[in-house]
Amino acid sequence: MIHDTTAVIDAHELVRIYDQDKVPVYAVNGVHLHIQRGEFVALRGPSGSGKTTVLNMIGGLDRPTSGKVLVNGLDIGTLSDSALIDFRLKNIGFVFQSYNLIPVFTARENIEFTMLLQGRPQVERDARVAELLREVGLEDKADKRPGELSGGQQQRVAVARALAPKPQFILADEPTANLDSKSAGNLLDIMLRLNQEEHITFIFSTHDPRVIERARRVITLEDGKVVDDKTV
Amino acid sequence: MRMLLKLAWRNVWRNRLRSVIIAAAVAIGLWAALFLMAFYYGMIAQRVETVIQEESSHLQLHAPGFLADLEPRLHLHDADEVAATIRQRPAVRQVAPRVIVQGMLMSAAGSAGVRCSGVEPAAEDSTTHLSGKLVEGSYFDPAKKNGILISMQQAKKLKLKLRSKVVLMAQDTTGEITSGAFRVQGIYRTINTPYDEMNVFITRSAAAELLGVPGACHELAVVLRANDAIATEKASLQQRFPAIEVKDWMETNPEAELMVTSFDSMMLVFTLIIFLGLAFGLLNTMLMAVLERTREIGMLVSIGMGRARLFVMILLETLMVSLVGCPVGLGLALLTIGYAQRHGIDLRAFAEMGSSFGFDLVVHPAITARHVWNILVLVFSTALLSAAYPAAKALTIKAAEAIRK
Repeated sequence: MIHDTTAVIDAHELVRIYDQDKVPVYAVNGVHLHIQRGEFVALRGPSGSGKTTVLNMIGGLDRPTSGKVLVNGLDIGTLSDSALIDFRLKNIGFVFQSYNLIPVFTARENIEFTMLLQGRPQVERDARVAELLREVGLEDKADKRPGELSGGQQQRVAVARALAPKPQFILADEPTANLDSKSAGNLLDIMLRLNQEEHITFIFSTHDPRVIERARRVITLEDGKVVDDKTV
Repeated sequence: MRMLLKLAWRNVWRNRLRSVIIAAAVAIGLWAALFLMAFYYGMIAQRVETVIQEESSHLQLHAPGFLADLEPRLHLHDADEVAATIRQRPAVRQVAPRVIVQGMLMSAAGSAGVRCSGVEPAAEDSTTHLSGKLVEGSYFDPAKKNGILISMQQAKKLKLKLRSKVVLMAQDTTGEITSGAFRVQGIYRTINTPYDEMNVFITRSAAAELLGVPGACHELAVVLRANDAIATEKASLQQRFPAIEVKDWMETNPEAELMVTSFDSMMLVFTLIIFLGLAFGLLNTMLMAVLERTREIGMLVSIGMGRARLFVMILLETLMVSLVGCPVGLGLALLTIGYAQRHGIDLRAFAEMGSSFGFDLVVHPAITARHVWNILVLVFSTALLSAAYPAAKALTIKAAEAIRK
């Protein structure tokens, strides 16, 4: 599936209105997106431009006020909340700005978690966790809890966790925002390598120039609209 | 499920102090409920045993309709033959024939309404242990026909002492007023003040003579060898003597039966109060635990943890924190109940209140495995109910908003 080059995400005429104090706020206003497998895409724009809202709608965490998101041709807006959770589990990996690891689990257990939710067998889980720990360079930190890891290490665990169930694509919301330059560089190198070698689709929301520099495609949002879409 | 158990267990210990406090609350709640239940059942069991062994006996036989109005003319026919037949039954330990006289006991100082039992001294003593309750004087003397045993309360009220003369006035079988003079032979005291205020004892022959029906008998009190034989013996005797009314202690002593049932309700209320307090403690703690983890719960939902699993995780956390407190509470309860069972709980400071209900003043708590099981089930039910709201609250968390908090 990962090597398929057909479109993975099609967003049509996405609108998201927040009804703040009964004055409608257009967080996203008519966004079209077409993202193919294996792309390394950065959604950039100033704060409040709608990057995270677009990412949330693509990831099924939020529902558009109008418009639709198709993932492999499936309109995810038609899914019930429970079906959407299941859909996310099987198809989407998430990397959050604040790492958001399970604090009571070790790095190994955090990575294994989504596979456990999927009911994968122990042997497969063990092999995949070992592979991912190697990929993100944290084999020696496997039994450390998030509180014992640096920010960069935690974010690498988060990337490994997102990759564990072999999703269709990874959504990363400001993944480098809380990292120092070295950690951010390491993390981006890992994600870029995974993208190039394993053709994993990455979609970032960011205003970090280090991410934008490495992205192959940069989509710029302003006031909830796409104002620029460049493939490098 | 193993993953959920592991996650829930570790979540429980994220805030150790809070978990220890709530586990302690569960332990104290469990201990209080078990101890209260043991105390109550011990007290009731002792009261029931007193009612059976010293007041009403297991079963009583009367002529039909006698118990309703205590009409002197409604006496048992061939009572001695019936008593002899009943004594032969393997389940029966003793049978005591009685003549019952409702009357007025008069002294120079005053009068009091009494229920006078005309008893056969030996049979009565082995049935209700009457001689053991004497605090002054002696049990019936075969040489003295007109001896009467009165209670300490009656002695005080009527200003009587040993060998004082009293007159018992009653209605005979023809409806005429009759009376007899008696001398106080002994003064008794039981733990049941209302019983003491009402009951006096003379010999059966003296009572029958007073009523003008020699050999009369109104009541056969039957003591069985075991409490659990009551229902079968009652049915069997009723079948054997269809012309006689056979009643068990709950029917002949409805006050005691009412006390047992009303104490059941009271116990239920106390237990509910304890568990309501526990429920609010658990609910508050778990709600805090959920609200503190809004972002984490949002993350779990984002990465694919379904609502059912989330709900179960919160339930498990609540159950686990309750389970931690259970062994401590149970152990504490069994230790204190065991100690109190051996040494008794002395309630003599509340003697007046206790004796007005007929309770022993030294209570020996008692508890059965069924009681413990019921309370444990109640703890788990409370934990589950308390977890329901926080768990439902967790389900309402919007992932997109929560992960940015």
